[in-house]
Amino acid sequence: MKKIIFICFALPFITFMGCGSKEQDAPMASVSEILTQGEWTSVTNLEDIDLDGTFVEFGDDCEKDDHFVFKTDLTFQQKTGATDCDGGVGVNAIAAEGDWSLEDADRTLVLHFFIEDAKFKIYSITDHEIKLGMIEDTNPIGVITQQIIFKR
Amino acid sequence: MQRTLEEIFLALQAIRRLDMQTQCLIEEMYNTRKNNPDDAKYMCEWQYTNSGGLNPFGSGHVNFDSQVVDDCNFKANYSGYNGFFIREDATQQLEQILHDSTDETYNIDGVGSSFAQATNEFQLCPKVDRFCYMAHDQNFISQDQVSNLLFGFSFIKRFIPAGATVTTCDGTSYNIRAITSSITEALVFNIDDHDNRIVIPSSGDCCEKPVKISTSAGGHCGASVHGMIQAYEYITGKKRKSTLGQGIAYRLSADWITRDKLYYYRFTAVTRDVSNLSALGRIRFKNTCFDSNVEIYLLANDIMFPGGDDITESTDFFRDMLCDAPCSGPCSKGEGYDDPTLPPQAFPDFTCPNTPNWLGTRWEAQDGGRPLKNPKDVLPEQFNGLDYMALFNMYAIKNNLNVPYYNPDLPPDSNNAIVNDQIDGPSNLCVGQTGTYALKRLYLNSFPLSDISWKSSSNMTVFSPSAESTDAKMNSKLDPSFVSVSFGEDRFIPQYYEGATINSTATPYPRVIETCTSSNRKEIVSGMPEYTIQDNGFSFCGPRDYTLVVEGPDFPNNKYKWSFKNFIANNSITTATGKSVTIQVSTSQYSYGEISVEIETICGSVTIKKNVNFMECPSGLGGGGADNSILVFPNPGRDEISMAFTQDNYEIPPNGIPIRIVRANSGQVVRTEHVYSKISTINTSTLTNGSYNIQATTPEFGILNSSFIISRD
Repeated sequence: MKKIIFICFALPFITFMGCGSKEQDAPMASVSEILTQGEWTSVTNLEDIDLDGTFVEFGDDCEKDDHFVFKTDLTFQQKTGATDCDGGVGVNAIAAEGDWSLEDADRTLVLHFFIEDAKFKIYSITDHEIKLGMIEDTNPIGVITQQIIFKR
Repeated sequence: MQRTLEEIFLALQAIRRLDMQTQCLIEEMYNTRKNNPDDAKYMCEWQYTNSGGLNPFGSGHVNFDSQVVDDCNFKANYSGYNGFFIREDATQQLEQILHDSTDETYNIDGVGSSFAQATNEFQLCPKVDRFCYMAHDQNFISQDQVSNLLFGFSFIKRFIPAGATVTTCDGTSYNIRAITSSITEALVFNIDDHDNRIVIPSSGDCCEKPVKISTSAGGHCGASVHGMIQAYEYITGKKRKSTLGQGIAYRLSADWITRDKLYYYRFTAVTRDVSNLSALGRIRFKNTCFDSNVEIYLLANDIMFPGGDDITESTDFFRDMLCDAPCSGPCSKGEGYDDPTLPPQAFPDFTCPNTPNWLGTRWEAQDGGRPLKNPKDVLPEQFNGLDYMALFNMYAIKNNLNVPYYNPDLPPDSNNAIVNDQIDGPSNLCVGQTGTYALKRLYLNSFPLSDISWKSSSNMTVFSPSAESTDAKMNSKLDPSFVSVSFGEDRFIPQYYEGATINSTATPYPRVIETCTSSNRKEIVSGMPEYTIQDNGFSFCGPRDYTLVVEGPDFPNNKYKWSFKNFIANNSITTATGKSVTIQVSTSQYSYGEISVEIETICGSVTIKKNVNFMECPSGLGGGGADNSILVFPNPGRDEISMAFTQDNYEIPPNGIPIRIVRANSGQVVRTEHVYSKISTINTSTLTNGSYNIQATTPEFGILNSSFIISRD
């Protein structure tokens, strides 16, 4: 059963799939449950530099097959995929580790670091895909110009 | 300002020249490799890139074992904006400029630069390959150079106006910020577009595989590129994104144990207000900067992001550093240098001290560019003081000091300028009057001062020009007048060996004596000084005590004669003498008063005045809200009203407080303006008869309200 959670304030997405369209015939898994259900096996970076609402993919191919694992103990790992970035840690190795949490009634994903956190609005989350909007450090309430999509 | 612009311009042009120079080297390299037999096509032979070991290309300079392809068609680009360059291009000709034939001790007798060696001017080694000698010596840029350049470029963006130009002798104008942006864009794009690596230009097309500067040579920027992109966005004002992976690597690096973590702190200092971090992040940022000897990043962040909370909180640490700096510049002698039981290690003797906190390139790395312990194998070195200059200027900006920025031509004078007011004595002398001036020592010790020389402006006479204190007479009026003094002052200065401070006369590592020269100046007003009447605020609803004081020089025998006109005071004071007076203003009715005081001094007499509105403690119509926050007087009013904030000792912000007058029955706004004092007069001649509300938006109390009536019947 495919479970979908749409975060209602995420206007760019609910325009074509309304909040009321989620399937109701199975208990809804929480954001945390879906997030921790296994490895996310691809990551896509999208940017909207000219603020026209169109997001374009960017970044190196070697990052696209990175795996992200969000564990129930609130730690996360970033692992390299089959292609390692130049000078990286090697194929299928752990590139980064840290802590994560959910904030704002499960609408914001936070990756915690030594000095500053990285925050992402959760636009939508399904068993197979998470759409995130990056909240910029210097513009926390501004327009989202970068999206991250995890898939598995 | 113009000189600063020109110096920045020359520095930027030097970077462009290095960029062009490198293009020449690269073109020469490709052209001499292609079409060769296979074993002679390598970009650099292993002799240039191997620092030992069995693997010919296995050293820190890996990746140059890439063969140049025959169809390489590289053409040098002389824009100066290729984003890849050598670190220096000094030639032996520099020695002719720097050599001082009159100095028989310290001197410049040769230039040991990589570029000079590669150009092989002495023909000692005729087969030197210029390009590969750069690889051998790691003379290409690394992320250290890139990050430090972008750090400096951020200050250009912050302080140099967008339209600032420099015009050269041929009439060409150059925009400083535009050059800075172009260099930044080339540097950052080159790295971000090449998988976070610094790559030899066109090696992806001209070689069998791209040639990348090795990780150990600072060519891998995986953890710093996010910071580079943030700096790019700030410097150029353009947008560019870093990937999730780049952002994570950058943030993770803040907690690394190696000095590579400093890229994070360097970039963060100039790209975001650290004061806005979480409390824990803020503490960690600050602690890491201190632990890593890059405390200047905190100062940089406060300068880049003024206002709000300052991460530095106090600048005493920096002030102490400046005042403790060795006058002759930082140096390092190495352990054992001063041990009299050991043979001399260098000639001439280095008399400079190993100084705590000032070991050469202070801000460059975790240990000031070198181990703080001064190991034995370090040759004695003296440093140029650029680290001092950076701190001096940033400290002056941060604290709005009225001192000239550090002048490299006159470092001894500037050295002590951070300490203000170094001459004791009156700041005002009337014509014919004589004052006594004394220099202040910087250091408390018993050493006699040397080479004391007092001078003055042409309208004054100095009576003891070589004494520690002198009388000076004001002969005629001239503003500004001044006295100045220069002198030499010896001091003990502690040394630093093996991580411990040595501050004694004991051998083998005694503290040293150094002579610092100071030159201080005091401006003197030559005529009637300026006096003002100050008050300590007034509470409309308090005891209604009103204390006034004359601010200005208090010469001997000064006389003050106060008078109060149109004044209603409970204690019936109408005149008074003395520098300060307190009256009690009547509560019986509104009052308007003119206060004046005649001041007689040895320079002459002057009368100064102050007009004051006093009101009753407000209530009801015209009395503001329940908090009695605004008083309007008179009420009803006609063509002019006064408004007053009734909070005790309320200080109006420098930018004033916005007010607006609204018609009570319609809500129509009929007047908006700012008031800049606790009591203000407002022209109401254009208002028709009726009821009005007056609203003031204050940062401290929010919106304050009151009502009043205009009636001309």
